[in-house]
Amino acid sequence: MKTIVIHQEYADDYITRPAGERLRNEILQFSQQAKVCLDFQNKKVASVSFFDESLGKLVDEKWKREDFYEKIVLKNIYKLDLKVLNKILLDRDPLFEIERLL
Amino acid sequence: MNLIRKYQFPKTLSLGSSTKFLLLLDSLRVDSREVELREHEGQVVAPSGLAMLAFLKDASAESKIRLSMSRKLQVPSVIADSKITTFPDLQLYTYQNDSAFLIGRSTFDPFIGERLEQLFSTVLTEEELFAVQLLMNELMQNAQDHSGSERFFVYAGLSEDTFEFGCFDSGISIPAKLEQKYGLKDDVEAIEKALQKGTSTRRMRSGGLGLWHCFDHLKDMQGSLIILSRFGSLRRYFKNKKISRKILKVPLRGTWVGLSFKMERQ
Repeated sequence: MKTIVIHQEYADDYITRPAGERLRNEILQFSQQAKVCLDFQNKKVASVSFFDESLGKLVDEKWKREDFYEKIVLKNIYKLDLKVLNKILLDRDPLFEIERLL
Repeated sequence: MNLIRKYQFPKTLSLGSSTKFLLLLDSLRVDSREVELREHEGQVVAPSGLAMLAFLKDASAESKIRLSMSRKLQVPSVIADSKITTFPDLQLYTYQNDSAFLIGRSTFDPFIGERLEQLFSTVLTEEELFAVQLLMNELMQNAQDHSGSERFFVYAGLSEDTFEFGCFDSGISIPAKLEQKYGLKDDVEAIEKALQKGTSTRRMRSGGLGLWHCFDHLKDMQGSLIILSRFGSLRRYFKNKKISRKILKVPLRGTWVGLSFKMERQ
């Protein structure tokens, strides 16, 4: 399992679309070898852009919901960020079950 | 070029007095060497009023007009300092009191969350605080990515029983940005288009859903939204689902997105 601690590795910026794009590319790269764990340490992100760009747009990379369930784990994500991310992923796929990423 | 123009502030300087503000801004383009602003006894400057004054200061610097007002006003000292007639350093606009803050920025502020927590964690609920941070993050990114402006102002704070926050830039404006891609009837339609899901100014790759998702939070708080951009004015009141569309007589050369919600809702 490859762990990315968001507030450490993205300490300078975990808000903007470019930061989200960087994370998406890391996920795409690392998930070829192992499951990727995103550890948020219960700290806030509060950015639709970051979540949409990093995780939402994996759908544009042809990821199906099963790919998310197999390749991503969300750890210590702040409860209100989880709600935001859930909306984003449901918007991309109405049958998405975010609980399967926890 | 020898005119001194005098203006009386509205009793409460806020987004609610935007018509007078636009007229004043427009008048800076007419020859004069000084604009004197006069306050009322007990003058109130709401958080959005702080952003108006910062914008006005920048506009007067652009027109090389001296802006003078009482130094007693609770505003950033750089705004009230009539000796400063060039573009002030953005950091000089940073201001905070017990119930509001104003920040001048050229890029998004990564510490807005900490600032909001520090100032408002006792007056806003956890959900409200999160929603404000979420919306402010999106507004700043939009100003940075789309307005083309080197300077924008963000503000937040309490104004009586209302919490207001927003972002004000002097950039290209939403209508000018969208008319390159979409055929639009007028500037109000351009603003409405910008709020629709999937609208993007990008042609080569898909845009985002930032603000579109964020407005759900404003709806939950039964808040209101005001967008002024070029000749367009759109006001949405989520509590009674009222929408007001207006073509402005005097344009705003930039974009102002102002959001607010009542502190005690039923």
